[in-house]
Amino acid sequence: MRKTALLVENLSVKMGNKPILEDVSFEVKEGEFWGIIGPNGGGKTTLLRAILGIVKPSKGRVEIFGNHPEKAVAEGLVGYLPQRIEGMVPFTARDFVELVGGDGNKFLKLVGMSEKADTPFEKLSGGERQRVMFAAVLSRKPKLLLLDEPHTGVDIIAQDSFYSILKELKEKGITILMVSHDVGVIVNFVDKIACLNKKLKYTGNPRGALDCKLLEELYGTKMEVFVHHPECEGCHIYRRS
Amino acid sequence: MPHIPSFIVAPFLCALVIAVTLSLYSFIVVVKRWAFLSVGVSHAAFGGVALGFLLGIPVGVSASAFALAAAFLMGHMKSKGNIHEDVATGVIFSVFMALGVVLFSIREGYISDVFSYLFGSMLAVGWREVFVALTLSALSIGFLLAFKRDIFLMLVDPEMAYVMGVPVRRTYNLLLALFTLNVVVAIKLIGVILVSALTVVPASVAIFFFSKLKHIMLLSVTVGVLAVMAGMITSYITDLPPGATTALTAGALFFGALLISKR
Repeated sequence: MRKTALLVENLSVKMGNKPILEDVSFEVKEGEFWGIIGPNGGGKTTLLRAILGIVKPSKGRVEIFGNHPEKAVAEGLVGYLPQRIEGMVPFTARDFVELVGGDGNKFLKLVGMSEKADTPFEKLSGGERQRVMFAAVLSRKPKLLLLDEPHTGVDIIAQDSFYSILKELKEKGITILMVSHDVGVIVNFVDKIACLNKKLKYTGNPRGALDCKLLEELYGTKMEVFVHHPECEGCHIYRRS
Repeated sequence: MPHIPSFIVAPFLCALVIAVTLSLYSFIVVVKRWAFLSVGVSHAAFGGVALGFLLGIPVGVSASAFALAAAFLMGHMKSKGNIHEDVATGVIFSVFMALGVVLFSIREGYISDVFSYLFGSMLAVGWREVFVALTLSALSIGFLLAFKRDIFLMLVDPEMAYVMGVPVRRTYNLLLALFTLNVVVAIKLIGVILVSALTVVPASVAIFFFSKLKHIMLLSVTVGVLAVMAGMITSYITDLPPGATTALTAGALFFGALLISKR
């Protein structure tokens, strides 16, 4: 039986008196790839931050491989790729990965960024920066990866290659929890999905998340789901009607 | 060989040490958007200067206490009170500065002291100040070198840094404390009002031209030393306050670099 990589139990988070997360519970087994979808302001990023111990919950608990989040972070068990970074990076891509402590060449190759190794980080596109940051995160060899909308500002080709990397990591036994706004794409890659809008509306089989009524409840607007071609994995789309 | 009066050796040496240290920290000011905070802590120190004069205690100690209190109060208001850093800085520095004005007003014959601390004075700097600046500089640069990884990861993204094992709060607090103390040391020479030119301009100019850290740091120090030395020489020749001449030189370097970099 596989070990529990992440346990989230009755987790509630408040900002002042405003509830951001209410009674969220789920369990991720080692080696699983989970997607978290939900509307803006639904608490997806807060959930990741609470898992990491950056945000203190008002109720409930989180365990990462049986450890308190702060201990898991200190032991290097967790990798986190934020949606965007706050400051300036005055380094080349290689310098950045090496500053974190990894082999720049090896990890940039892994994310397909070898050719840009000597390019200053500030001169990279949004998608390229994301991949360099991902290389830096991977260089710490985490067992659990938390990814916050890694596809923001990334084109479809880069998105596909990113999913290929995630697939390889999953095959190596790394557990992945990824927040995404792109319901139609993520359901094709993950083992399980969680639909979050303050509360968990659904957890389970990713195809189950394509149910129109569930999506309407989650996003608060009418939804239609189209599958363009049965063999085209990337063609599931959703739209407002 | 031209005759160099002995009384200007200490101020020039002190200026050189301050220029190197603040230019290195200038990069952090620019990246971390501490420009207004640096204005805030230097102005807040004015309250401590006035208190030091009034109570007859060492001005450097009271100014450091006020500046450190202001710096950490600003951070605390931001994190705990959910108040934007700009607002917290604006409130704290005006209150501390006003306190300084009130305390100076209580004391008789304050005008020349006030002017000297507002705009800097070469005559206020002796060998004791050089020793303090050198010691603090060694500590500050040593900290940058020893904790380079932690500091720069924190500058890139504090949350990402935390997940990469950086003790973010401790690193931030030490960095802020050392920066604040360096600002206080520079106040005697450059003045409360104009010291921010030295905390903001050097790295801003360097970032116009370079994106690699090593090059940014080298040009930043060059700009800082150039601004301070030119400012000091002009001040000595013209008898104008060194803070004003340094800030004007730094401003000229900034606008010159801006024009060149846009070509």
